[in-house]
Amino acid sequence: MADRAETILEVRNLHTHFHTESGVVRALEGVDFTLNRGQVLGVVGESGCGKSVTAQCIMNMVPSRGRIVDGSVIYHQRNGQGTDAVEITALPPKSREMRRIRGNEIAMIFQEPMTSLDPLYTVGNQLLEAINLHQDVDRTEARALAVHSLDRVQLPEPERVFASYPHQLSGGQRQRVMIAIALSCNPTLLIADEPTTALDVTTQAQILSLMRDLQDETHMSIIFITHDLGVVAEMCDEVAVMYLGKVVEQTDIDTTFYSPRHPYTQALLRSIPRLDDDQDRRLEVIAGSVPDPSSIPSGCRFHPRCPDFMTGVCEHREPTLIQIDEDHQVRCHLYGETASSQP
Amino acid sequence: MTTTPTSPSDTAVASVESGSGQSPLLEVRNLKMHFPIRKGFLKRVVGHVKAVDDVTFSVERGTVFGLVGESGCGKSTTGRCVIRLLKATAGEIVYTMPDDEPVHIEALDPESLRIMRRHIQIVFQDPYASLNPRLTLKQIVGEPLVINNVSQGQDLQDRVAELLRRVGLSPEHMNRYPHAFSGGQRQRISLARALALNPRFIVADEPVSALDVSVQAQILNLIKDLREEFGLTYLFIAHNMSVIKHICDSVAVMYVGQIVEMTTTRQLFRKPLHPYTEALLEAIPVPDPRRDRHRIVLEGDVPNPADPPSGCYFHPRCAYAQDVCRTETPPLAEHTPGHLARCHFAAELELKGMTI
Ligand SMILES: Nc1ncnc2c1ncn2[C@@H]1O[C@H](COP(=O)(O)OP(=O)(O)O)[C@@H](O)[C@H]1O
Ligand SMILES: Nc1ncnc2c1ncn2[C@@H]1O[C@H](COP(=O)(O)OP(=O)(O)O)[C@@H](O)[C@H]1O
Ligand code: SF4
Ligand code: SF4
Ligand SMILES: [Mg+2]
Ligand SMILES: [Mg+2]
Repeated sequence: MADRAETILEVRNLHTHFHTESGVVRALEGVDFTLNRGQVLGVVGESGCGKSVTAQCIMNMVPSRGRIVDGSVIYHQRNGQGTDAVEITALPPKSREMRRIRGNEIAMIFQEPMTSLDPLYTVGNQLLEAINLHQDVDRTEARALAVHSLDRVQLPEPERVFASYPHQLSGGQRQRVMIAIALSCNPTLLIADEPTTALDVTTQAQILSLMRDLQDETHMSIIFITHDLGVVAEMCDEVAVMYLGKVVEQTDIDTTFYSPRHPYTQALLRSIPRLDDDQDRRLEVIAGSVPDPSSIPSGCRFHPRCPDFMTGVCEHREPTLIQIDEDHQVRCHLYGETASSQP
Repeated sequence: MTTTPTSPSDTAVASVESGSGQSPLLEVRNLKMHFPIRKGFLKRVVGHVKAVDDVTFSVERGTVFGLVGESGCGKSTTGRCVIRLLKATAGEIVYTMPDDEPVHIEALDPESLRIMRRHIQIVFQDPYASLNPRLTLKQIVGEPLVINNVSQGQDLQDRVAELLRRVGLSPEHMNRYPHAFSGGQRQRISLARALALNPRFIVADEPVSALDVSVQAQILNLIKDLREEFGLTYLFIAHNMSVIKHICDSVAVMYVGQIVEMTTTRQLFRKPLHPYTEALLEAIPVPDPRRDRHRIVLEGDVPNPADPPSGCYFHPRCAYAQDVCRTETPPLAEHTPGHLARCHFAAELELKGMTI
């Protein structure tokens, strides 16, 4: 489909901190990845590693206590002939330009559809609001578009759903409605933050299949955030693995699963309960748990849990993200010298 | 059809007797939980949600028995009836005491129930909602010991420390509050609390469903270890077959308040007999990008148990449905020894299983 890889989004060295009563939470401390147009990028990592904050930064919607202290998000917007690079992180969050991007270029769906839908309004009302915000259409047209968008997300009886309140729908149906609302502005980039984590496996399979169909149809680019590598294998073309606020590895989907290089990626893969392995096998685990962001380990922040830990190196020096192949970056001392050193 | 349908209670008894010879730790017979639906000013009963409708199974000592199915199938309601957090509409729940005396849980008076609760504990899905945020770990884990006058003072301190160690937490954290812990650590705290009174039987209601995949493995291993160490028996509830596979010895698949298939885990995975089981197996994301991503997806949602479909409850979603499925309700029949399925075509269909 896309003849040549064309970048649509670049996240560079992103650092985002939150100022709380109990001190500074360094939520992001070096998030780097690149998304190509028409591709699905999986952002994976355990809870608390900064996936949602990354999404907030891309949308330029960081909560008020948070600040982007370094780095940038660059969105490559198509104009007639080529693309313009828009530095999202340099735009005031409430500026007209940012609102236009949020409405017409980038849309987002969340984990819990119930909290993002207003319980007091019908699905139809909420869809119409989204449509009227972004498109210049009259009432009959808007209504037709709304019903069509419900049909497009494969909701049976779209007219009935249009007139329903969120609580009258199942979790899967609500997530379909959220997708319909997000797609009502024909976004070029969709950010999906754990859209299936709160759902049953069967409903998850339905939503993943729907998202694949919609992606095939529209060729939109997707950032798919999840903690589940099984879901990544079903959905994504590229993968960025995050650990404690940093991207530690980015490469294509096949390499991620068949020749991952970062010890954290390798450990995550081993820890998936698989259907096809021996029932009596003891499940492998990653030792320990993700440390609190207020007590980040020195050097490589994965070192207390790392099976490949090199004494004298890993606890002292922080690895940088290095290019080990054309489309493969890793942040780990096992793969070469790094320039940076932490005091 | 090649097999003769038998009534669910007959077959359950049969499968029990083909077991170890010892009586099972728990027998649930023809359990029903029908919630009344009330309408209007006078709150008249206008119908019933048949959340659990004639469920029969037994749990052998020292084993893990799984209940699996989508949300709304009646798994939690079954679990709550078993430990009498809910009073069942009908049916028997027979628990075998350490002296082999059978006790009817459904008929216990409040005092006996209180004593019974030492034997049976429950662990819930949401490790955030199920722990009181205003209590320290010591208070949370020690509470059952204090309430039941088992322990106090230094002894209490020692026991809580030991329990925390057993579930892989540091006793030094005894005076911290739950908010300082991750989801997986909180589920360890829940387990420590459940173990405080030396129970023999634990109902685990989706204990890993809210956790990161990488943390699920840790908790499943812990649950297995505790079984060995304390000779525990579990009723383990999940909606995800890959979790069931790693922890359960036998499984009942539930759909709209009923068991639709029941057998050993190995048999269920190798040779599923019910189309719903096959669909649950198909739904698991496979961590292999080289596998074909386009496959059959089970459409639709679980029907409302207040108004289930005619005939076979699964027929509106079933890929194999025939005319008879719309009109005739299939019985839960034993197809091979110890393997029950509720499908008109269980004997004919060649459903996709997997070697485990
Ligand atoms: N509004 C906020 N205020 C303070 N800390 C926050 C806020 N949002 C996120 N954090 C912290 O930032 C870190 C990353 O959070 P998040 O991006 O939500 O992780 P993930 O989505 O990967 O689970 C966590 O330690 C979290 O507690
Ligand atoms: N207290 C209640 N009153 C009325 N209906 C209930 C109640 N509790 C559960 N139900 C209904 O019973 C059915 C089974 O619920 P539940 O046992 O929670 O299913 P599961 O645990 O399999 O998701 C659902 O339709 C649910 O809405
Ligand atoms: S830098 Fe060292 S501790 Fe960090 S992931 Fe690599 S080997 Fe492990
Ligand atoms: S009885 Fe019919 S509808 Fe029901 S599961 Fe069997 S084939 Fe499907
Ligand atoms: Mg998140
Ligand atoms: Mg439940």
